[in-house]
Formats: sequence, structure tokens, C-alpha cells
Amino acid sequence: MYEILIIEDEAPARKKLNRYIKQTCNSYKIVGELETVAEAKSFLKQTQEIDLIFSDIELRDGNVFEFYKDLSINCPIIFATAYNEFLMNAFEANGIDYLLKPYSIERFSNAWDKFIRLKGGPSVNYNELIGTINRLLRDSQENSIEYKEQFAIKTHKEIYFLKVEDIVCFQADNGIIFAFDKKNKRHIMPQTVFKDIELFLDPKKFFRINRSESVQRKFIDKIERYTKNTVSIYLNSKSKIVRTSQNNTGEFNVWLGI
Amino acid sequence: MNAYDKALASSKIQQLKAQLNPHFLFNNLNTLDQLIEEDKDKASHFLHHFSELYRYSLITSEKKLVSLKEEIQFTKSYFKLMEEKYSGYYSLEINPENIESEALVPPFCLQVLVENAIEHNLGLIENPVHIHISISENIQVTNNKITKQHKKATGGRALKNLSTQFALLGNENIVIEDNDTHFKVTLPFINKTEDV
Repeated sequence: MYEILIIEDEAPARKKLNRYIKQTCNSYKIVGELETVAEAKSFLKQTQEIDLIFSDIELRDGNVFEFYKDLSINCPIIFATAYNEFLMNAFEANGIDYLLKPYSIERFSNAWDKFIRLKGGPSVNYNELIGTINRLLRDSQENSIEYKEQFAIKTHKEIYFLKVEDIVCFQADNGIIFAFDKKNKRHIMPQTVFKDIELFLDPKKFFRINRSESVQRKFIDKIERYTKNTVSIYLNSKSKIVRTSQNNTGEFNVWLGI
Repeated sequence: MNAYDKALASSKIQQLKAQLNPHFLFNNLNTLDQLIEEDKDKASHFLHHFSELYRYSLITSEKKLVSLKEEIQFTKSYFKLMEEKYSGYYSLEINPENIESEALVPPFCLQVLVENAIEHNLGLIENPVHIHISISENIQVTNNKITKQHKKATGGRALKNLSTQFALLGNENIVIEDNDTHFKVTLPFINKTEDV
């Protein structure tokens, strides 16, 4: 239910507004029909619970902007007036539309739709936005929880744990993926494709430099141009040298921030 | 161009401006729009009075003086339009109702006084503005005053124009009486034999 205030000094114009409101809106209440600046001023000082004002501009005893500029009106205003000389003032005073008399029912319902849109719009968008932010936050938290701190490595005798922070790089060779630690020791990963490993790795720390190799950022000592479109990467006190593929070099540079 | 023609031209221009004023024009059309929906006879009458207003301006544009009867008719048409918008807030009474006089007056002389009375006084249902036009040895237009809290800045140009026109017609000046409760303008009859 919308509470509507009408500020209009001419009786037929008030009737017309009433008629158009009735035709357009299902649930409303006209909380007042005011004819003068004096009336409108005292009414608006007391009442705050209005959803919409239909307002003429020049009343018999003055101009409505006398009070719109002083009173802080929170609700939207649709101006209905004969001439557009006060267009700028209207926008400064919560005006959402400007009906030029004599206006049609079509023009009126456009203004009404605009009111509904603006009224419903921001709160829904706001909720949606909050929802999106929450979801993103949750997702990113979940993901960070998912990143592994260590991998369980199985041998025929035992299961031991390889710390992710110690892994210099991964290399795939004939369907097996090896992890090399900082002592340059080789570990056979339980996963057989990179995709399955990358699920557990923070993409900020690890980068796939080509089809079969992935490196950890903190072990990169230097990079060197190898061909026109590829680079050599020296890892872990130069104990290991790997090369980017042509396709991945550009992205690798972006990932490094260079 | 003599001084009277100048004053007359000025008054006519002002009148035309008032009628072409978008507020006047479009507000009346909006009223008509509502009346069409409400009551087609009323709408038709309104349109008739509205047309009279413009026709009068066109017809009198060539005339220096008009008959008092025509001016009264025109003033009534103007008032009818206003009454439709501000029903019960203003009343207009003309005495005697049927004038036999063949007197001539400057065009718009009564209408502007009625317009001023409406413009400057805030008539309300419980406290209406009564405008009274009385015709005897002169023409008197009187109204009770209901001052507005928020006064519009108006120059009183219409009254000044009227005063100039009558002064230049050579007989008597118009008399303006303004006290706390009433506003009264007395217009002298113009000596018909005088060539203006």
C-alpha cells in the first residue's frame, strides 16, 4: 500500500490525478490533498511516512520550492505542471519525473512505473549485491581451506608427508608426476594429471609454465630469455632449470608481475 | 502613435502575454481534459469560454474602445474558467446584471481587475473572495482582501496601465482605494462624444 500526497491548487487537476492513480495503482491511500504552500509546509513538517508526492509547482500562494529546499523530504516526487521552467529545481528536490499538463494516462503510468522501479530497484539490487559478496567470500574461504599444506606420498613401505612449501616444482614424465623438493629430491605424486594437483595448490604460489611443468614462485631465482617467446627459469639456487612454453610465457610474465 | 495608443498597446501586449503564458494555457487545457471525462456539457462550456477569451483579444486588437457590454461578457467568460478551478473560493457579482448602457471602455479594463483580485487574494471555501462590479454613475470593482502568507512578487503593472489609459482618455482618473479589508477601483465613464 502506497501512501500518496497530492499538492495541487486546481480542483480539476486534483480530480484528474486521483482518477489516474486509481487506474494505475491497486493499493494506495491518498494521505492528503493540499492546495497551498502554507498547508503543504505544515503538513510535511509533521508527516514523514509518505511513499510518493504528486506536486504542482506554482500554487496560489507561492512556489513549492520554497519548502522543498528547506524541509528535507525523503520520498520521491513526481511533478505535474504546465511548463518545464523549474526542471532543474525539480531534480534537486527528489524529483523522479516531470509530467507536463495536460498529460495522458500513458505518460502518467510511465511515471508511475518509474516510481515502482526506483522503489523496488535499489533494495533488491542491494540484497543481491550482499548475497554475491557473501558467496564470493565463502567461496574464497572454502578454496583457501582446500589448499593443501602437504601431500601424502605413498611408497610400497610407508606413507609420508611432503610439505607444499618445500616443493620447488612439479614435472610430468610418462604419465607420472614428480614433485621436486628443495633438496632436489624426487617424489612420486599420487595424482597422475596436473589438474588434480592444481586443485590443491594456491594459484598465487604455483604456475604451470608448460604442459608438463609447474613451478613455485618463491623458488624462482632468476629468469632469462631463451628464445624470442620463451624464458628459462632458474630455480632453487639454480639447481634446476626449466623453460616456459610459447603459449604460457605471456601469462607467466603477468603472473610474476613483470 | 499618440500616448493613448501606446498605453493601449502596452495593455494589449500584456493581455496577450497573459493568455499565451504557458501556465495559463496548459493549466486550462488540463482542466478541460478532466472535464471531458467528468461531464461533457461542462467541458463544452469551458471550451466555449476559453475560446471567447482568445477571440476577444483578436477582435479588440483593432479597437481602442469596446462596449461595456462586451467587456462584461468577456470578464464573465474569464471568471467561468477560474471558477472551474477554484470553485467556491471566489465569487463574481455584477450589478445591475443586465446593462442597458451603451458606454465604451478600454478593452480588458474589468477583466484585469477581476484577475488581480483572484491573483492577489487567497480565497478559501470558508472565507471566499467576493468580487463585486457595480455600474451606476461610474464603474466600481470591489473585493474583500485575504492576504497571502507568501506574496508573489508582482509589479502592479496592470493597474498602472489602466490608470494611464484612463488619464489619457481625458476625463477623470481612476480611483484606487486600498484599506485593511477591501480593495476598490473606481473607473469613470468615458465621454462618448470625445474622439479617441
